[in-house]
Amino acid sequence: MKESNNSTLPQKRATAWSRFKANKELLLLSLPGGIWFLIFAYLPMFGILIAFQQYRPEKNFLLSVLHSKFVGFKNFEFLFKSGDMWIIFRNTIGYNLVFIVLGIVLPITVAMLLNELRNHGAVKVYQSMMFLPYFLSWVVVSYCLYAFLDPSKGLVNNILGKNISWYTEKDYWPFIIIFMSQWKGVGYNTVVYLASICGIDKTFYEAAMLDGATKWQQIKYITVPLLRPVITILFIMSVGGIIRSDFGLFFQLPRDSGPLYPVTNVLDTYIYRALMQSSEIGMSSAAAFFQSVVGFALIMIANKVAAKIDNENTLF
Amino acid sequence: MFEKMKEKSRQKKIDKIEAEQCKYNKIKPATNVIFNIILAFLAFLAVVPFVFVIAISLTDEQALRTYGYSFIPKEFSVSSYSYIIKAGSDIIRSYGVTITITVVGTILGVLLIGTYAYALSRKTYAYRKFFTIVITIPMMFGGGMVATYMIIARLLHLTNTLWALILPMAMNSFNIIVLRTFFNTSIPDAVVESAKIDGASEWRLFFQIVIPMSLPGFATIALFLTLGYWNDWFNALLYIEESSLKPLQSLLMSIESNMQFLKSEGLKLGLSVENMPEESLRMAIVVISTLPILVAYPFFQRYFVNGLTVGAVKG
Amino acid sequence: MKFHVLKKMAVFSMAAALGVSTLAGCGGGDDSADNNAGGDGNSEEVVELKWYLIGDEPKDKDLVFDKVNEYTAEKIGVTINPVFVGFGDYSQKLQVTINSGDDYDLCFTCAWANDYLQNARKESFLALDDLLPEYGKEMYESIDERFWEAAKVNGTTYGVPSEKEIASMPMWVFTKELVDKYDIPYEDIHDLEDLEPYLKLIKEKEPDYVPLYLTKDFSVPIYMDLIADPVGIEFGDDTLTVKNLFETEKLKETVQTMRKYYEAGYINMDAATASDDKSVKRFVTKGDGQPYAETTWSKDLGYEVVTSEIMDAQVTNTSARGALTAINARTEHPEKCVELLNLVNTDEYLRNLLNYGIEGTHWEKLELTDEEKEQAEGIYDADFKVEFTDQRENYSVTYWGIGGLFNTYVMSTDPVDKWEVFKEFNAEAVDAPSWGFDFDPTNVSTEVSGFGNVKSEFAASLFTGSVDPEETLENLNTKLEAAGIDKVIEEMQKQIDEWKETRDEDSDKKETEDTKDNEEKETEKETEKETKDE
Repeated sequence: MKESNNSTLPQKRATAWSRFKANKELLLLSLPGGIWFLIFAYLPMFGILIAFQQYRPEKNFLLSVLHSKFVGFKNFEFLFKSGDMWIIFRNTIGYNLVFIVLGIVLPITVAMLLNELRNHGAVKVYQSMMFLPYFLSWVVVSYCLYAFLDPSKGLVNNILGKNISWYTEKDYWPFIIIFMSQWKGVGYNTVVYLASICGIDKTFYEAAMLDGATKWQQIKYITVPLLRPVITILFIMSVGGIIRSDFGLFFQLPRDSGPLYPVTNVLDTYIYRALMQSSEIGMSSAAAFFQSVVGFALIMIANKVAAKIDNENTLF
Repeated sequence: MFEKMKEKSRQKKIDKIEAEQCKYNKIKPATNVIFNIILAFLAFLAVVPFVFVIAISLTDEQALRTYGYSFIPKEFSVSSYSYIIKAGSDIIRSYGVTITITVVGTILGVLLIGTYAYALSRKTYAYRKFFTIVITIPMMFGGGMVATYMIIARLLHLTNTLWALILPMAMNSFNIIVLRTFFNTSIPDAVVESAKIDGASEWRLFFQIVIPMSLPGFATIALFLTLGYWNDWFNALLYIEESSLKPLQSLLMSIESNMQFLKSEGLKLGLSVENMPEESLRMAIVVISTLPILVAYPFFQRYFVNGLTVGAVKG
Repeated sequence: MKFHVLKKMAVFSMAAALGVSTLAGCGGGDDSADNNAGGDGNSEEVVELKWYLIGDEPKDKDLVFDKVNEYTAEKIGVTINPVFVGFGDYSQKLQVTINSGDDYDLCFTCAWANDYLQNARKESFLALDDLLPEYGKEMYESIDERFWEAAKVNGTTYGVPSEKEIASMPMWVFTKELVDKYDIPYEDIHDLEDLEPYLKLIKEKEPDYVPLYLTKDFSVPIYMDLIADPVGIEFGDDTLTVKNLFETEKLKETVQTMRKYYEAGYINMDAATASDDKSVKRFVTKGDGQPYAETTWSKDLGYEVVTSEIMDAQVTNTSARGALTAINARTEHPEKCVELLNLVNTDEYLRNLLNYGIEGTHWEKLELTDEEKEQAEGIYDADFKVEFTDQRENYSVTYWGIGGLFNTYVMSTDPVDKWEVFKEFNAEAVDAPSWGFDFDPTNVSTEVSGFGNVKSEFAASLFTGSVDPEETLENLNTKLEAAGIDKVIEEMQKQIDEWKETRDEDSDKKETEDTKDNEEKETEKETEKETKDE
């Protein structure tokens, strides 16, 4: 691009044209997807304006957006107004940091264990079984968990012979929440890594074997380095979600129990409870927009950092 | 296409036998046992609640109330299943709708995502950066429910058509990026370049070289898409008013959310909630909506499990 | 570069969307034209109205609505295209439909789903005041005035109310078996404090029973109209002083009593987190219902219960807006919509067809007994009750979601005087002092949104007596203050003072007018004197 700066206009056009010609096949391949994004992702984006408006519906949505009164950042205020804001952000970011680390370490470990098993039948069985929790909604999981933790009839209290009031003792919950989130997600997350391991060119291992490399060395020098792009990309993307949370995990699983709020209230549950009474769509748009902006900024930063470390494995 | 896949799996079987003879790349038997124990334990943890769910779904509601939950139904009953069948005589039709959107959507999605991701994975592609930005922004920013509704319902007029359930979920940035990354790592540049020198068009390259070489990647994306379509109920809530076009999850979700509402508010509003098998019904819903997709799971699984540790002697 | 692209994109998407809106406009027109043509072959004038109704779609929807449409087409040239949306999804679905400006004609609305007040304020619903006298006269006259008053927002009517109970009715629900066994004068028990001796008795004598059974959704009796929960006006407070519920003396006493009961073991230990478990044997619990609710509860629990009212029923805006049907402000057929609602609410055949389905298919007539006939004299017009057939499950709808209840037939399980009792109940219900006042939270929406989190953090444990009330109340109020409750109280007080002034002026005017009328008969001198004296 810089080179063309000095050139004259016709030349510029000519290079643009030849560039187009050289790329037209690939352009054709990316066009259907591009059109999809234009229609389903970009066209609705004018809805973001609602976040800055006191929205009033009219004959159609676009007119409403054009005619509604702009109120600046007023819709955002409620996000920072609560006296518990510190706790809420601490919870949101804290849990997500743990989830990001575990979300990489556990699935990779499991994927590698599966990969090394000698009995292939067992691999399939384990893998299928571990996938099961993904299918259960948080509502259902919360019912199952209640069967275990119910203070009077629950299995855990019966086994321990104690009378712990699980749903009011907040000390247990950081652990419970982290455990349950990994329990539900590990099977699903393993798939990507498993597929990536599958995709590794087998000649690498072959060569390593001929050189007499041990299993551990193969993992260390072949598998992990080759998984790095996937790890980096998934890491960058999960950083973007650091102030979003899985609503069911923090709302349904603890049964919305008040005494647990200090360790279960995250931004998404806070927003939900705040907007339960007043369903102003301006405010919910503002909340989503805030999360987007923060997420986007973080993704950019993470991408920059990743590019510094290794220019190959970045988002863009 | 299918012939080829068959051939491929046959080839894989041969490879597998060969791999098994190739002992020296295997872990020690003792380690194998330990790994097995660890994984078996994890698998057990994952399955327990599901067994529990099935058990509850088959327990009589009254017994549930008196004795609480247990792994073996105290009083066996299929009343919750018959309740669902009664509440939704359309359940078979809903299965049909769900299967249709899942199959069509997955195929469409894999094609769209695959072509897009492939173009992005080509380092020589001049518009690569532009199209990467195109998918990065929507990953974070969305216009919100109302704006999206307006586009789908009022611009495209998709209300009460299956396209309203298929198109909005056909693509997403996450899947594209995962697949692009997969292409980057699993397809050596040399392969692409030599094919280009041979004069292959990008289309041929994509369909004849890239797809066969990245089946695990495609299987992953296809699995994610399938699960997405299978579990979606929200789009149906917004766009489908015709009951004959309601997918399974939407039908079941409305039974569930109705039940939850009636349970907390019903009496206040003078609505009777008698004879509603609550807990067992909830669990039966899970079973009914999950089992079919579990059956489909191994189809995908073989692409990312079968190939494991195989091919060590390939080439 | 990046920015440039973005900008271009934005421009393009706006342009495209603009194109869309015109397209959509055309599409809408086409649709209705189609409807006209397709609705009824014989007459060109029949219009189809799309009506969103709450509750699951009944299986025999088409069967019944074919019949309904045949009738309405002939009577007023209207057919209905009903769209049923389940309870759990209704608000969300309608929020999107209404806010995107989608086409529809009528929809169910109320205080607790598809928020009536908010939509009326935004003028998403059609103002009916000009249309009612011409197209809805019968209906306007037949529905109790107070419901119409409740339907007014800033003096304008935006919905047609369904006549049912006008006030909510918090009750103690006793297990009849124990009441009979110990001869408990349950009808005299009203306040929370009245329960104590009997809770003690049951605790001592009946170890199998939970004396006072509560769940996490339980709320102590609240003697207050919570206009922006927890801010509102206490019942009986004619000075209209805005208060924080958690700072009222009444509530403080109540939660202290609850704590006492909890510590004495009258309340189940897990109350703050339990969800309703019907298998738990209980002596008393709290319920919110309507007249004859005990019949429903008894059926539901599988044993008989009896009830006593906790407080005199108070009419609030929320309670009187329990069910309405509103018309889309941008409907193409406003007159037809009103005509249809008029017919639904006044036509006995249509009303019952919509309610119970087709006679002979979904229900049969059940002759009244002689005794019932006597009782029905003058209060119940039909000479039969509704006995459901085994087809009943194929057509079951939300009765009050369609229209008023008082001209529906009673079901075989209900007494013939059911609606009469409802009417009596409504007549006896007292207007809360704040009745008719609508709070506009626009200026304090940020602050109000902070309340939800605070309240749900503490309410369950506080109300069930599971925690020390003093400490919890202090905590709770500190957090409410941090959320800005004082600002909300101030704003509401300002609004309610203004409202009170205009209300009093209005009523003063009325009074003076009335006096004038009376005085006209008297001599001028006397009138002059009186005015001077005043």
